[in-house]
Amino acid sequence: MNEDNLNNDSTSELEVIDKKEQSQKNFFQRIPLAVKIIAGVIIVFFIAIAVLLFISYQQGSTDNYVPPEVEEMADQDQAEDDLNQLSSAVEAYYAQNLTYPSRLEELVPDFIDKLPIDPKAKKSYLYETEGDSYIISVVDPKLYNCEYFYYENGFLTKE
Amino acid sequence: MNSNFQNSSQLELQIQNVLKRIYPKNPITVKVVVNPSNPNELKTLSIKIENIREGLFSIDIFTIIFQNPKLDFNALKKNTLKIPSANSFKANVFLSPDALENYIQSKSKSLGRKNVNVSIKLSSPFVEATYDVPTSQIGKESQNILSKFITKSLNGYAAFTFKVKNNALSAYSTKVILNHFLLPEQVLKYFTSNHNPFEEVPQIYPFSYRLNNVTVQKNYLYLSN
Repeated sequence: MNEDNLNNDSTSELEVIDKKEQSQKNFFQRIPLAVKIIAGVIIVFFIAIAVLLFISYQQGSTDNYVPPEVEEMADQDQAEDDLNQLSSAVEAYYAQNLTYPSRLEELVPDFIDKLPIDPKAKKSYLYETEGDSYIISVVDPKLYNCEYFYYENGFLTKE
Repeated sequence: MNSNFQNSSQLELQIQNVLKRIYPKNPITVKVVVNPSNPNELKTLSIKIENIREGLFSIDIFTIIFQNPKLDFNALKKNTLKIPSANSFKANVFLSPDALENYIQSKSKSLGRKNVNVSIKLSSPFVEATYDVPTSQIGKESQNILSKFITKSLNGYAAFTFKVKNNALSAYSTKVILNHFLLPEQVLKYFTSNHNPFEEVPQIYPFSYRLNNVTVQKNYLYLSN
């Protein structure tokens, strides 16, 4: 008897669940496809907005208070940029001390943080001064397919 | 014209005294190098004046270097520095982060803006700024452009590069964070094209020059002709 009752109870429970699922299915089936698509698009849209806002918020955090990264340059452009920066630092040194530095190392730390390295030769750039003039050059211009590659008194020669 | 000086140190002192009349409180250094093959000819004349207040700018260091200058000695006797000609000359202006902050404060005052807090840091090749400005202190047009991003105040971070042409200084924002939002490029372009050049760097009397180069160095924004 008891077993029969139990079987009956579980069968009716199953039926209730089945009916619920069916009615849910019916509910979703009853929604037109177009509405489903629109709802899907709206949900995706809001998720995208939330993600964009999150990314944008993250980009604006104080951890991101840093200058943009400077793009890496080809060796030749890098060498030209290095020579230009060194020349500018030497000129600034002269303007402040009314004499040229005897060695490039004297530019560190007041004018530049550290001396750049010739990207092809992997050595320091060459520097010479004769009191009222100076020249800064790559280690070996031939490595850059040049005969001359230097800054003299603020002017670049590259040929 | 380039004669009548007994020795270079005497000439240096004479020029220094003339400049002292114009800049009595500023440290002034004058250096003369005479042509070794012709003692009556100047090879270089270098003049350095420090801590000059000129208009809205506090110029930390100003240096001008003349190559083979021809001095007007008659004018010098009358306490006037005149250099009618020189083979070339180089004018150098150094602005420290403090000088740039002072400029912003002075400019804000001149425009009647209050509570403008800007802190400057030099990170070659960029000038970095952190700022905190009440929204009410910026123009209506700028407020409209930034309306999506602003609340009661504008605070955040900016990285700039600079250009100078004929003494007119322009700033180009490469990255701006405003109230936690990274500003889109179109907004940066609007400010770049509508607010530049934003200032004329004053010339230091009695010299005349046109600044056309600017580099960001470790301690100074360095402008030269």
